[in-house]
Amino acid sequence: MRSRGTARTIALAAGLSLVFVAAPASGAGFLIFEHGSKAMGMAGAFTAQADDGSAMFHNAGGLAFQRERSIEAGTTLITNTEGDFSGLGPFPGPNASGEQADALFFPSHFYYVQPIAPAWTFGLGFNDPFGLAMEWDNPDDWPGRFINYDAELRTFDLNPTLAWQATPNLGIGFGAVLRWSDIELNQRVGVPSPFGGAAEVGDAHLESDLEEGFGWNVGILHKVTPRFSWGLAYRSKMTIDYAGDGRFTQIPTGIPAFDAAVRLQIPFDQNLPIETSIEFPDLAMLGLAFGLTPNLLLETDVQWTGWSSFDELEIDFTQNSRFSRVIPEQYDDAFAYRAGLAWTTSPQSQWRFGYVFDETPQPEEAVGPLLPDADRDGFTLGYGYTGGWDFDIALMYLQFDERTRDETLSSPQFPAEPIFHGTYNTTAFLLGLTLGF
Amino acid sequence: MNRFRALAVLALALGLLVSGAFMPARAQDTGSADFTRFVAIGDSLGAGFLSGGLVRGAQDDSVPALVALQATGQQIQQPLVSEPGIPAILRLQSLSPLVVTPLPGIGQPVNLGLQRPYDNLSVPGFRIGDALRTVTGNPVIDLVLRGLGTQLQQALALQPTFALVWLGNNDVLAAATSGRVIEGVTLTPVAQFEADYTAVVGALKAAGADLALANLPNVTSIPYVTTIPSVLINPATNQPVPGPGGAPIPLLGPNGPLGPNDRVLLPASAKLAQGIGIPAFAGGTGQPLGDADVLSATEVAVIQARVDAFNAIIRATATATGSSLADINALLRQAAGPGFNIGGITFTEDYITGGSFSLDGVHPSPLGYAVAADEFIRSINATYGADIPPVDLFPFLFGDDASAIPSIPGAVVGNVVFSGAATRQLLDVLRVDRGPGRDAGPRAPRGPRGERSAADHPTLRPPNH
Repeated sequence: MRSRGTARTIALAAGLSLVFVAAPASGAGFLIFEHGSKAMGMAGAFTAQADDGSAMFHNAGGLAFQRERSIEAGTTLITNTEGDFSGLGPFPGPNASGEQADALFFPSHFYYVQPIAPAWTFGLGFNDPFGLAMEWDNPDDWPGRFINYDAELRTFDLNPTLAWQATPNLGIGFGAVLRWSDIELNQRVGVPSPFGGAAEVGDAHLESDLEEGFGWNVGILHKVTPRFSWGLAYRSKMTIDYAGDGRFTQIPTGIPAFDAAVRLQIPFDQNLPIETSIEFPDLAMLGLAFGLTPNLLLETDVQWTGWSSFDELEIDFTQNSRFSRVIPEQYDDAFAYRAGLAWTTSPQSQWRFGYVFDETPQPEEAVGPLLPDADRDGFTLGYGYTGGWDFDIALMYLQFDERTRDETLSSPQFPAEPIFHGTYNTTAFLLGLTLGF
Repeated sequence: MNRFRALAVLALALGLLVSGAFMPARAQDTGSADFTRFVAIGDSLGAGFLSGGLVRGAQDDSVPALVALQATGQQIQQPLVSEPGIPAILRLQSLSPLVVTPLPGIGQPVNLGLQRPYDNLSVPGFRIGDALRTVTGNPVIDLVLRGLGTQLQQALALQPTFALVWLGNNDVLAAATSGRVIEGVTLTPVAQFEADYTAVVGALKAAGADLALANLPNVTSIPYVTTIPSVLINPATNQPVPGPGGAPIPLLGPNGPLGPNDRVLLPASAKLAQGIGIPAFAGGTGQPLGDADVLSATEVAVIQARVDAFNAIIRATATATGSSLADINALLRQAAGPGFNIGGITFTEDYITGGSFSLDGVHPSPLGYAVAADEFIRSINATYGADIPPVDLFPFLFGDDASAIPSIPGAVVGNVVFSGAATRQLLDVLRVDRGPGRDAGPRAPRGPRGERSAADHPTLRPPNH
């Protein structure tokens, strides 16, 4: 349990949290599930424990049992250790390849817990539950540059939460979610050349303003016996409507007359208003925690994510509709399965181990340079220290299954989906650190 | 020492095994299809004809050549022609205004000495009946058949294990390109098509060949038919010119003002450039376009119905013989609709700017042919349980294979002028009889070079019917 906050640490943590951050999604799709290093050490199998500030994400019911004021702040460093693409026919073909840019991201979290009345606890949480950064090296040569060479989605959630300890063993919590988000897309513009094949004629930069949306969450945690507890939590879906600008920049082809014709077709060097919308999925989590021995706790969780909300990404050029497009996504709802083990070796220290199998919501037809998602296995190791102050540290190795898109030409369900076949290999390494007072 | 040697041998063997596993396989998994002796019979589409001519660079990437190369890793023997082709292929003479004319000069056959029939026996202009009955008739026929017998006879002489049959296009195309539907002349009767098609396929099947067939595209969807609107267009804006009442001004056809579903054929561009077909009040001569310049809505419907009837016959034949069936009709439907999004770049059937068709407005571009080859491969894989890899389209977008279309730089603005020489040459090869005294239209007003008639080609004579 956390304790003893100071005004100085509040300011420090808030400052850290205000750095808006992006991350390659460590959960399937563009979900991020690392919002506290204790939970992360057990691969996120935490719904039936939820005994630190990250309860505001994992299970608001767990907040009800936290009867001391505490402050936690932390971050998760995420780096892609591998992000390779190798092409297949018919396009871009077996000679094509690409590599994701090396990147380091740090989605951060901050939690303030304050008991406000007998059996009532208030919490204020901050984290980045969704995010994506997909940048490819050498954008001038990357064969997928006409689809994406640098895309970014950022979210920032403020999550005030109220929890009620209904009985000594039963906690129920509710939260409101205020989300800010922005999105950026970069790609090249190619057209059929009148001289045969294709010509690269421009660069397109699309960037939204920071927009907001609202949602809610609820959770229940029941400590049935000292050796068994269960938890159930739900976070609502949220829609964010984005507005922003698209800007085209001409790339000369070396044929002045052709370039002049292209200029007649594309309004270069102007900010063209754009709109888009993303419906972020809802999440449901069920966890069971078993005290195997007084020092050994096992939790198993199943998480459902309503990814079918993400059926398309429609980019609407409100005043230049011929540049508008709909990117079909057609995601399916997906499950993740988590198991975590906590081994308490002394009153001060605890070791944690975890495994997660995270199912991709993305159908093969939607796999592409914008987001090559895959089923993934995550292995975690964590350590926690509790003393005058607390710290938790966790490591995660995330191995994506090889993902291949190779169905032939367009399928009727994806008429606008670009032909871009190949195999993606991705691994990521995560390091989480959370400090509590 | 011996143990070390044994270990070394083992390591070497293992190394060879491993490296062998990673060597690109030359011969692909063709399933139950046997590509040992491959032959293709067809028409201009199978020959790799584009931009109004047969020329080596495009022939190398013909659909039969690409399919065989993907299946076997081997080149096939074709009636190759040196640049600038037979006939000389078209180029963009000027982009502003857009003028398309043939290249100067004429190509020469470079593989006439082959001591056996070509593996690709596709003859531009051939209809299904020609495969059974035609031996000679024009220089392009002679270039391919060389007096060695009919197309089918030569194909059978090769004792094929696998035959690609892509015929029937000209049995409907002539009606579209000539602007005239004449049963038995520009349009093959259904009963005759059925008899000939089943005879050709049956003979190859009886000889033991597995077959890859293809259905027919809707030939009224090609740029040759769809490019020029039936109303007057302002070349500066590409928008219809509003008439006195604000409505667009219909062009003048042989039977009066054109309806919205009538089609003006590409060669009429040269007449429109001279004001023919444009009402006098709108600045034209008031003279109507000719019957051969216009495909009426009724004619379009008749041709489409015939395409459907032939495709039903082809499908039934494919089913009866266990042959694969490439859905070329669907390919053109997609090109004419949303287009093909290849790696984020959209290719459509639009003339010049769409990327799928060559400069003649009838035949695909190199990329269009490669996409068609991938459709053949898809259908062969599905039918024969094969795993032939698709043609790599990358070189057709960004590499050497992309630009078999010579051109000179300029701006793509204003009206298209498809020169009279270009038209005559194309229709000669397509064996479209435009009738006595019916010229392909006046010469393009701006075509200072390359303006030649078919008579300028020493090797070309008007086709015999």
